[in-house]
Amino acid sequence: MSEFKSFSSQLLGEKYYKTVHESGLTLCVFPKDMSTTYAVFSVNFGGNITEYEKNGERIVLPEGCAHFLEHKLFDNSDGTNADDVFSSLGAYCNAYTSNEKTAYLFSATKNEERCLEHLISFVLDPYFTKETVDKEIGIIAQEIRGCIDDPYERCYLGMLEGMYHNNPVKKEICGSEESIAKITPETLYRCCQDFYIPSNMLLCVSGRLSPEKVIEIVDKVVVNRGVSRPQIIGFDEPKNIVSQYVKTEMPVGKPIFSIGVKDSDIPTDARERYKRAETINILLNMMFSEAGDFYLGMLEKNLLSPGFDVGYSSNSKTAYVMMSGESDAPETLLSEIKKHISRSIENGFDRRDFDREKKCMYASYVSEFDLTEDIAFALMSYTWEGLDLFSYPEIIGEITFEDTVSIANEIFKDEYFTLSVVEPQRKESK
Amino acid sequence: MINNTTWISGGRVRLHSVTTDKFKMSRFSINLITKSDKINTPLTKLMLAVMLRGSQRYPTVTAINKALDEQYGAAVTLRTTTVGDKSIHKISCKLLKESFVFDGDNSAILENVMGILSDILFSPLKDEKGLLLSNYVESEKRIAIDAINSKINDPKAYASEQCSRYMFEGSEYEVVADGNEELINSFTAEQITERFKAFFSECIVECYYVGDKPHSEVEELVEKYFPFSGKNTNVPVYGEHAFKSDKQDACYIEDEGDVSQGRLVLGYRCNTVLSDKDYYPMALFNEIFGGSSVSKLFLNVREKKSLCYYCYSSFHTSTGTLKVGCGIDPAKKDDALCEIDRQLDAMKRGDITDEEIQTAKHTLISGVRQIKDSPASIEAFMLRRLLANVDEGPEECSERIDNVSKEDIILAASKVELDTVYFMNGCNEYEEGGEDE
Repeated sequence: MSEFKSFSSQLLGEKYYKTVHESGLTLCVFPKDMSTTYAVFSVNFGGNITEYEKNGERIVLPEGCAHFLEHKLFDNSDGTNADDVFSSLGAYCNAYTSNEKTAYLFSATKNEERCLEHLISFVLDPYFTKETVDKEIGIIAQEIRGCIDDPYERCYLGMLEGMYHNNPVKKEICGSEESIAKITPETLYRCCQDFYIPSNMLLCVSGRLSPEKVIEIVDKVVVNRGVSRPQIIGFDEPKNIVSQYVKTEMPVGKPIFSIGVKDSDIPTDARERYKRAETINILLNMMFSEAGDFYLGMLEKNLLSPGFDVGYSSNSKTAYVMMSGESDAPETLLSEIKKHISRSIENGFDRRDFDREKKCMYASYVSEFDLTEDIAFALMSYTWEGLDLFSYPEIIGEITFEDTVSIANEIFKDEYFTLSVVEPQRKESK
Repeated sequence: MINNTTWISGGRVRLHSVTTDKFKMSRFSINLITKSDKINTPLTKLMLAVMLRGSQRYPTVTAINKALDEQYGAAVTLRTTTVGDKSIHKISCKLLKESFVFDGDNSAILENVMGILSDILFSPLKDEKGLLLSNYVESEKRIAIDAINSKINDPKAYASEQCSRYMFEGSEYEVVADGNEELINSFTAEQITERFKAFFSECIVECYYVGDKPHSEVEELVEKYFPFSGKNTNVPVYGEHAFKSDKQDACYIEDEGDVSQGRLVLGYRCNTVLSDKDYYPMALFNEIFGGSSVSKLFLNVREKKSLCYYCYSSFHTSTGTLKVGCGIDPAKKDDALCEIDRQLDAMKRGDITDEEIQTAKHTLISGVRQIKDSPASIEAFMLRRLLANVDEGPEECSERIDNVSKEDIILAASKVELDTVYFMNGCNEYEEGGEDE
């Protein structure tokens, strides 16, 4: 039987357990006295993975494959759908595909054990036919059209296209109508066989299931398939950006913008990466939050609408600052942002702003422990990175005021800025 | 969890509290409630937005936000919604449990945040003529108009709102909290200041607290920081009734939208609100019809016929209406309409399996059980029932769901009548979207 290692936080008064099951599957269990139990079963296979090597063979997948597979895994061989079972157990079930991962989840207020057993079983038991795959192409084509109509999504993708030459993050996770038309049952079976193997997967549970119960269920339904993890083909991404300006026209009320600042200095060590990310996030809040003078100034000059989102996003391959919102004059706003950055660096930062932002980030971390859903997801992202969920207060504790000042000098280089704008459509043709 | 309700400030303010140690974040909200009004509701919404721009002690939005961030990022939000014929202006905040503050820091988060809110509500910034500041008024008008014009950015929500607009036109439910561009443009600082003078003495004030502090302590703080006075004059009566219409046939409205996916929304009268005895049968009807991914609409319109990516129904419990929304290939609109109608007819004829009923019951009961896992849900449950004049706890709710029979659901289905169909036609062809087959 697998031995659990426990992790506890005196600060939060919480504890969770982790182990690697004999099948290779990593398990995390966070008992919590709530009505709702939440479980996320994730696989290291997302929209960005379209090329890999397995046993010496190189395989290229159609774009949108991971997402398509996520939809189709819900089909059972008897013609029913995995959803039916969850619903009859009174549980809610869903799935999503990100660039890096695919995750399947349920939330339940009773029958938790049966739900967990079902979650694992349906994900590991694929069933596809030509007929069901062909039908799904129609459904996903509608989803793709829905994304095309979403100006925020288009603006965001425009920013990524402006920043990245080869990084697949710039591609639509659903793929295109053209690419998904190439998907067959064989493609999907192949993906399951190569990626949906226990050693490439992670199960996180938070709520009313004990670690012993979880392992008992995993013992029952997960077998060691003894296969090695696929080798994902990487990409070379130059430091420079593709374009400083990307424009799209769509029916929107007023222009929408996303400003990206490409960051190529990504630490390979996950803890260092988290620390760098949080240092940059503190800095961004010090400079651009709604508690700052810049925000007020832009509001008063009519250059910005409320809902100005600023943040830094990073993983092992991709990192950037993103500032997004709505503005009548995105280009003027961008030049004001750049001026504000140089002025702040020149005049120096205020330590009180630093202290306040740290408080906010700390409180936001603590707040994640009120919902089993938040806990399961946080556990998932920390564990995939190889970090302890409770290490966050220590990581932000180490960040100094001086760290934020020095990173300000390094991150905002003019040549790494991209501005993506979705402008209201001109109506001359009507 | 210990529930408590008391009247304070001479019966002017009511505090509802749920004392519990379960959460790391507590929640406090002030709900200012009046009858909905086409002019006063958007005017009050704008007035509160202006007040949140600056007060005497915190003259700018920067000063307010700095003060709130100092309280561990206490997130204050203002939201105006219409529920049936009433308007609720809700100011709510999420607060870190005080035992979590850093060593040596001032830990009176609830009291400090109430102090900030009190200054915003009772000591607004005024100019020498005693008016709320016109530059804040103008700025907030612009923001409100931008928000109205940006609704089109979300075609799904926009189409749904358009359907309601046409359905409720001329009825007491037609009030839209955001107003429209022309109306917002017409508001002046004088009007907003007049509204300020009248509003706080005429609205009902319901405060909610969910957190670890005992009721008496919160009561004292509310009494100290929120000295509402006056006598509520324009008081709505709690309780609800369903939307009625004398339309013989359903209206059909079609707009051209520059979208690649057509958006179809059907509005139905279901003649049932939260306080009605067939409320739970109707909730179950909705769940089976289009409330989930095992519902009739999802399985037939989406899965069997591949007519759309999404197809759902939602039950609006304060107006007694139901909406079906779907995103479709415009060429398949008639097929989708036909299929939706067929599914409704099937339910009216009693084509409902015991399994479907059991599944729907499980889902609704599970939703009720989840309420006590979140302070926001606890508050929403309590306030919703207060407004509808319904006295029931989550346990009774579950029991009532469980007691519904198949006949009850068929009877509920028979009350559902199509009122309005709204279609946003997709006419845009994107290169990457391809042509229709």
